[in-house]
Amino acid sequence: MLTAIWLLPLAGGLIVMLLPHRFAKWLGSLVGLGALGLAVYAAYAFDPAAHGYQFVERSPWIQQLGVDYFLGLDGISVWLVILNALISLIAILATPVDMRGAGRFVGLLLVMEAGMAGVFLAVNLLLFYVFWEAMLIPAYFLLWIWGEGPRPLYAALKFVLFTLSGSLLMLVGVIGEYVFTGGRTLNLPDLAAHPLDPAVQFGLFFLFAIAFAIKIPAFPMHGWLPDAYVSAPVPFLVAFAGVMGKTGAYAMLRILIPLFHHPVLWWDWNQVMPVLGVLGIIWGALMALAQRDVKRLVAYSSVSHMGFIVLGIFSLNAIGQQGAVLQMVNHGVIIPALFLLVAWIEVRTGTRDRAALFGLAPRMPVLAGVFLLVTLAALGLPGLNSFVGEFMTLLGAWGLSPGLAIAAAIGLVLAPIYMLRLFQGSMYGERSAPAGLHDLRGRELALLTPLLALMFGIGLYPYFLTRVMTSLGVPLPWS
Amino acid sequence: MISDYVPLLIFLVISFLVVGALVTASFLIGPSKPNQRKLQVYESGIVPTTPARHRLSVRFYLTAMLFIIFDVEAVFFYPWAVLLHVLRWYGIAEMFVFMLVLLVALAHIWRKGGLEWE
Amino acid sequence: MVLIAAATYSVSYSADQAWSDLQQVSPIAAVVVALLVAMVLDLVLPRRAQGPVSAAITVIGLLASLVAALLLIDRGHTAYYQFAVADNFAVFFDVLFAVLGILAVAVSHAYLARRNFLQAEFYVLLLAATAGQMVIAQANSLVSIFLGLELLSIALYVMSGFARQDFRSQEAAVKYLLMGGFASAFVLYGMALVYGATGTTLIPAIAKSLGPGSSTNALLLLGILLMGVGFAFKVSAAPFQMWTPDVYEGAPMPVTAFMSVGTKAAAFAMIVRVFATGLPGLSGEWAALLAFVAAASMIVGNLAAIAQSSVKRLLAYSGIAQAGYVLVGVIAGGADGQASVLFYLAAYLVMNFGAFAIMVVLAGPDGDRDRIGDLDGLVYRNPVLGVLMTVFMLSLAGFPPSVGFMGKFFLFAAGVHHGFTWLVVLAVLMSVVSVYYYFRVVIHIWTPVEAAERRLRLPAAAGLAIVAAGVLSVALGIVPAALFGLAQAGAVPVAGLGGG
Repeated sequence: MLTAIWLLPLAGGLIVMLLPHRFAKWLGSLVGLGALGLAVYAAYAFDPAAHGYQFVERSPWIQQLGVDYFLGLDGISVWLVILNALISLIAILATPVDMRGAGRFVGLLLVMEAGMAGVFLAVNLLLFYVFWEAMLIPAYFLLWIWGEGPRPLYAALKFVLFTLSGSLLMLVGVIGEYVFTGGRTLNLPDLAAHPLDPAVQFGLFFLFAIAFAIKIPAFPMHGWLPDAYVSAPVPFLVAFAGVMGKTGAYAMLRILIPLFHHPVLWWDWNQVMPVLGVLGIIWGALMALAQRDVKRLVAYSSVSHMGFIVLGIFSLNAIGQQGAVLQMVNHGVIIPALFLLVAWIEVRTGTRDRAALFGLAPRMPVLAGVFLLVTLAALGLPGLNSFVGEFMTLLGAWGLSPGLAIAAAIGLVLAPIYMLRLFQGSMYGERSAPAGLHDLRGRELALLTPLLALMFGIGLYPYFLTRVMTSLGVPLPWS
Repeated sequence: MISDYVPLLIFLVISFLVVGALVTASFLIGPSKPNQRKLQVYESGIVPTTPARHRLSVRFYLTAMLFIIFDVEAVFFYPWAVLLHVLRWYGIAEMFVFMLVLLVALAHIWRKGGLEWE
Repeated sequence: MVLIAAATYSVSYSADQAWSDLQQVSPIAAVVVALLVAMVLDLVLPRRAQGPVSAAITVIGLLASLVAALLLIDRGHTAYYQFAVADNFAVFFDVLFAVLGILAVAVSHAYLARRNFLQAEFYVLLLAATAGQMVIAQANSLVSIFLGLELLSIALYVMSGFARQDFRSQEAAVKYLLMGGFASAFVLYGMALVYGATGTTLIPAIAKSLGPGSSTNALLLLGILLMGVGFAFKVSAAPFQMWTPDVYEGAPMPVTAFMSVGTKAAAFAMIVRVFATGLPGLSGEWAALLAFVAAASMIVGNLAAIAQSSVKRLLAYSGIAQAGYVLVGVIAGGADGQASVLFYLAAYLVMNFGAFAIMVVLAGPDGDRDRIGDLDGLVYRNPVLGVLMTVFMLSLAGFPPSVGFMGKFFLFAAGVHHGFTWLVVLAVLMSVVSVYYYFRVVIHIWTPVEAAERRLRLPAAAGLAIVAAGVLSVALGIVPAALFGLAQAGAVPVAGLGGG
């Protein structure tokens, strides 16, 4: 079944690319819905009391090296698999029918979904790497061919070269891990059972962490992000910002933490990473404060939020890491909604300049209401999803070091400033916007509904997600 | 291992010495009465009328090359002949194969006009 | 002393022995017979029939050779007084070269007709070059290696000048002749010195003759150095790569396609055979030499490729860089290192030949179209070619799930395993650079053009070869186990190599 979760979108995507454009969106949505159905069914059938990976599919792949085709699902990956399927479906639905080459666009979105699903499902390090790299190819084409703005090619190439330099170093890391653990297996549970010498861990940690930090992107590896996010076409951006960044955070939690308990040589990586997380929180927030371009603002707010996730992961305790996983899902729900709203405002007003937007609320009351809800979710209002995640993360960080938790809380203070300023400035003001702006259409609202529902749902009952997070495939420090 | 090559070195030295000695001796002992005719490029023969450097037709090279190729192939016959008593019928057969290959090559050259001057 | 010993060698050669020896070299024999038949038919047939008939004879000969090679798997042994051998290593390369030859015929056929080239001669030379490659693969002595090397090189000299009206092609031929001559001279001189130091040209005997004092034997070390230089010329590794871009650019496209893979694979067969099998005790010495060459190749090849505006030159420099990657596996040594080299060469066959084959199809009657701008909008002019060219570029860049990625994974795994982590890290960093220029090609393929209605006609045979290469480029990346198993079987069992 797990194979179907990634193979279905891949096959569907390839077929969609070959068909005439007018069928593309329908067939693509159908395939996306199918993948979502499979993912939800997997979550439904998931046994939270069991230990180890579930729905395991394992067969030899490269027998000579002991490399297996090994897929599995556990209490953490299950949510990200669902998130991936859901957000990809929304991305497909958000694709304009009259877009140039819509068929290929939808097809590539599905192929990317397949790659990301594989990343979340893979239990073998080489298999993980294959999916990790493979998802880069559709992302590159989507970013380049359908990119907006003056320099989509530059942004796409920058993104690819950035991420690739990281992931090729990770390839050295994968090989190093393989060689140093005796060259018999690359299955994560077996690797986790053979901790290496701290000095070796230190080096390998570095090789892996660079790749993951670039993908997230975590401070200070976020150089590609503003260019890429700004030039990305919105439907793609929904999946790109919503899910692809999470693959990096997920990989940190699934690979760095279990494999390298004690990466200490010249310094202790486990103490450096949370500091980088906090720096990311503050840096992202400050940069968001300074932006006029709304898309850029949201992009930097994303850097800030991902900082929380890194901090939570490296708090190394149960509440922090569960909070981080929760926050991955939350961020994956909020950021697509924000980007979609920004895009719709841009379509209507023709600008993304914060200073040029004012008084939209009287013209578009529904949009304003939805925007307010998403804004509040993004800045962590209690009762909405982000609050729980950030709260758990901070609690975890407090357990690690109260000073770090306090520093991270600065980010919580800055978020309302830039988010509310954006909301107030664009929606209200002394003047109303010129007439003739169409409010949110029913179709657009329908697209956001599942996201809004999740914001409330997770905010009110986060235990639904966290209760299964104790069923782990590879042990974490607290299990 | 290198000591095995000492005779070679000695041989080299001796040959240089002998050549050097002969040249020196003829220079010292021999009579030297130069006149204009003797100092010309060709001591005997006619005075050159055109520059010696001029282009030869490529056909000369072609012919020369073909000659050398087939000439060198003939060298293979010698070791073969020496060992024919061991190789016996197999050797005979193999030499015919070899000659057949040469024949095909010759036929090819002939047919493609490699032997024609014009 | 040695000469006298050879002269007193008692010789007896039975018919059984002759038959058995011939079987061992049957893949070469098949190619040579096809060559002779094609030559004779060329003389007797009318001109119109020559092309198709020669092509058919060539393919039949290569198929026979392929079958003969497959029959030799696990059954080979030395032949002709150990001058030849048909171990699995040799058989692996025989198969590789036979497949390469068949692909080359498929791709060249329409090209030769379009450019109005002599067809029969081309196939004869192709067979001669293939025979030379196979002789190298099956050689077990320095003498037979040199024999194969010259057979291969001379055929290629002529082939690179095959576009007789084209000035660049002539320049390529002359340049290749001179440079190749230099390289051959270096190899020959090195071989002579090694012979002088060890008293034998048989590779296993050389390995046996090495002792503790060998690493200070000046004659031997100089021989290794000279051979190393010559081999580096042949694999077009830096700093001996100068000829490659010019020759690749000038030679007609199918010739470039053929020699970019063939020469490289044959030269790696030589390097592994001579260095890893013949001089295992001195692996420290030659590994240091080759590590320098590998590092230089990766840096020079990748950096120079960035600035190229001709696809041929770009692929030439990329080939230089790829040679550097493969050398990592050679230097690592051991069964895993050699298996990774064999795997990568097979991978290189499909992806690099595929890329060149697409350029062959693009060529017009007046000449090759190898400006990078000639690829503009390829995917709109012919979707199959466009997508496959993208696949080949991604595979050369080492993206999973392509065969290029798996090949690099095996090479780098062997490199790290044997302690050459620094070289692997360099290779990885240079791979990032390589992505830049491979993506430049991809960008041109996908750039929309005005003249998109000018659809490209794809000759059937060439199309089949290209599609086969494309399918293999992906399939072997997804399911690498079978090919890697063959590569492991083909690795020459030499223990205790490398630094690990």
